[in-house]
Amino acid sequence: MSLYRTWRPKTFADLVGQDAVVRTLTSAIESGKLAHAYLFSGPRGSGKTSAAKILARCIECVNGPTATPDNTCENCVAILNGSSLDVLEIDAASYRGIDQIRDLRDGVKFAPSSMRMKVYIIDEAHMLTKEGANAFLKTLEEPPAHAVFILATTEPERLPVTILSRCQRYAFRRIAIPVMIERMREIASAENIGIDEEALAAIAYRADGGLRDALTMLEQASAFAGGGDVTAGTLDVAFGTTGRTFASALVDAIAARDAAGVLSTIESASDAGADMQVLIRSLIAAFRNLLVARIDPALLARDLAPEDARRAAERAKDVPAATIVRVLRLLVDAQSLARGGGHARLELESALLRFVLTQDDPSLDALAARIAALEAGGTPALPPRSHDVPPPPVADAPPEGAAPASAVAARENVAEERAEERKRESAPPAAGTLTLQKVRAAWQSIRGKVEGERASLAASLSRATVDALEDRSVVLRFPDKLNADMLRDHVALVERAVADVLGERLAVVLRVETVADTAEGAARPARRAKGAPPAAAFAAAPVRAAAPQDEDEEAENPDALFSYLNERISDR
Amino acid sequence: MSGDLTFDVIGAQGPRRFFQALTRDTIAHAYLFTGPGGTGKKTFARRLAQALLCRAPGAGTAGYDGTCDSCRLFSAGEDTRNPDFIEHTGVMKIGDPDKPLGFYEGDDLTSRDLVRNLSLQSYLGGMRVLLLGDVSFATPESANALLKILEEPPAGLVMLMTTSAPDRLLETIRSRAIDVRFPSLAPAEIREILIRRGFDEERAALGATLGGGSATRAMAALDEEEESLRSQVAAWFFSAAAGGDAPEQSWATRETLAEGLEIVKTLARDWVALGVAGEGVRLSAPDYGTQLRDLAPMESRAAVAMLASLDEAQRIARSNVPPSLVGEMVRMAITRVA
Repeated sequence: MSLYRTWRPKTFADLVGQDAVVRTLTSAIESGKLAHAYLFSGPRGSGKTSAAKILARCIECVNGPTATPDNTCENCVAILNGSSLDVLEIDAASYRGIDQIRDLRDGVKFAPSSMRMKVYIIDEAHMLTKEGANAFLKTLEEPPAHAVFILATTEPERLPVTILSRCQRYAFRRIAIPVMIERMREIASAENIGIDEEALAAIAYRADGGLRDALTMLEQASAFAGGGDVTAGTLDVAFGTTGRTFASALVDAIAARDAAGVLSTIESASDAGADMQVLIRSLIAAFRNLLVARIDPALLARDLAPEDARRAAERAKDVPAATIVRVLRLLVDAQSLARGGGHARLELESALLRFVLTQDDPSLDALAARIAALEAGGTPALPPRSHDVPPPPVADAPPEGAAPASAVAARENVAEERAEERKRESAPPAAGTLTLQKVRAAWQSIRGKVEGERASLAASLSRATVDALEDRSVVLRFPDKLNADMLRDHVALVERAVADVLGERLAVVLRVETVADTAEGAARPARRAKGAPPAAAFAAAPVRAAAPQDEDEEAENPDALFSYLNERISDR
Repeated sequence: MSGDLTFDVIGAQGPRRFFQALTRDTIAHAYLFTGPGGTGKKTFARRLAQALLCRAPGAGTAGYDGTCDSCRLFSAGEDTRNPDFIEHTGVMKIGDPDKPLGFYEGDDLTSRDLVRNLSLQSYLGGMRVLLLGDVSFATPESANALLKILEEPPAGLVMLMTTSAPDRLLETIRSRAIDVRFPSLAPAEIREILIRRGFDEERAALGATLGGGSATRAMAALDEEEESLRSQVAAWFFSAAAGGDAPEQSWATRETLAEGLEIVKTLARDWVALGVAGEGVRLSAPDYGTQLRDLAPMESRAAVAMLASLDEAQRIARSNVPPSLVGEMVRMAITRVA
């Protein structure tokens, strides 16, 4: 019999990783406050069915009801070997229809044959049909005094709320990696399975929160080792490599922006027979862990073995969060392309090359750094908006060679400052310090205020850009006369909103773009269009980038920003 | 006796060793074979089933003798008649709850049939093996119906499932089976498979390079139609990349768009790779190596722009956009670099 069946926890003490559930159930039983319906929900392999079986024995044990069934009395034994007439385990995924529930309902009213209560364990309860679940409602609400229902499911959200509200709910958690390792170690030593720490950790990762997965793997690995010790190497041979080592090498190559290294690592992973889809997944997990480590290393405790958590935290220090997010986006895109039948290796290579080469480009880095500085309301002047003056960032770009490192460093610093800046900007700035940047930053809030009072102006406002701050008046520029005219009658409203948000009274001047500017302005709404004149895309960029509150996806998405910056450059 | 046992698969060394280390007693009740398509998962599963059911002494996970009653029922090829071996490929449906209990016949094996069938005893008195190839489920119901039997099956039953997209299976199903990963095939292994399938040496070698670790992909690449598409796309690609007047992208049709894009991307990948990693890099399309090396190396930002556009094109190609438009987009992505 499988290890996970032999080692199904027989008492609450053996049920690991679910302290809250165990504590609540134990005290309920001890104080004699049994409910008539329980719902155990949680991910696979977290102990729902096991807990249900334990609870059944708690109720029926000859010495019970007790939180510590002896598992030796006739009742416990009958339940353990499944021969009890009074504890019924029902597979709701196969017996899910109204007729089966009717049968169940008809049986409930008869008193238990030999035990204290009748316990119904309804496993996979989310698969009950709508009719079946509804037919069950009355029974579940007011069952006879001798009936207890224990529903177990991985997807409680699929149960009707009328079922949920009739049950006491217990949420089971994913088993944390350290807990899982501990439990496996215990079982391995009891079963005389030799296994080293690294292998325990490797199994725990592969199990992904399910203890059942972990135990089946442990069992097979030990059978595979044929009495010898199980090592991480054994696991790679037995179950195929997860590419954890390759993933880790790739993270290094990516962080070092080493394009050739990325390609050669993927090549050797492929030669070693690593599944590229799995490799993409491992990479996503690795970068996710880095991101979490940057936010709060303590959060990794559940997901990683202590040693790996420490290493992740260490590495995360060198990789800026913005970089991690960008890699993650590219990887997730690659994953979705590969999943749709694409060539996983090709997608992975393409995504990583895109990332590595973008970072490699000094002028782009300089651009990004400038934009980040603008976002932070720093000193650099805005790129001119007219066509005849070339955008300064490229001209200002640091000399090649030295560029990448310094530019990246600059960007990191700025990125950190940005968060601070956001906090500051939420309060109205003091008079006298008002700059164009501040107005642009606040433009979204101003728009929001105006739209809140008069929704019909939303369309016109969306066409407006904050063009200048001249002599205590805000100049709004419109690509066409129509939208400017629409707003003309409501200038006072806009001025009031400006005053509310900025804390200063400013005049609002509406200006329609001149003919020379028209092309630029008109193309502005075509944000995502790759084919749009890049100049327009570029012109639009600083404004949106300068508005940190902007909920617009583009401003949030460094990728999109990069791609039009890119096009801008490659076209020039 | 056991010297006569065979286990006829190419590649899959890891899984082979894995199952050899097990016996009929230690084998678990459910395995999920995962790995890229065309790496021999189903073939392996069939051979394993035959070995488990083989009645020769010493047979089991070690192999099968091919002459016993059970093996004879596993007649040559894919078509087996062994009553203790149930095979189903593709989508599973839940089945009609009111259908009377019957025996499995034909292609319409449903989850309910399975659950009923598997609760019966073995015909020949040994084990029973279920193989669900490319397992996928028409509805969540049909998958859920198998959960209980996957968790605590009757004795002597081994359930094998294969899939190249384990993400699409229910977590609860995956958690009940042991994941055995099938690595990509080495080029030499693909060559051997292709030669066995009747390809000549030269074409087998080409297929092995193009297959990217998958025998299925290799065979598809050697398919005449596919090959002509490939050369057509490649010719178009090089003409566009040379910066000349790019011809019409006649390959961009509804039927061939996805494959065409993949070919373009492979070539683009090689072009970029040659630029960043130099001669040391192994090409994905070695047969176009000379032409690729003749292309002007591109700057990294141009490379990024091109790759980004190709990704975007792939994404757009999945929606209901005229293929010619996607082709045009790809042309722009490439000529802009040139």
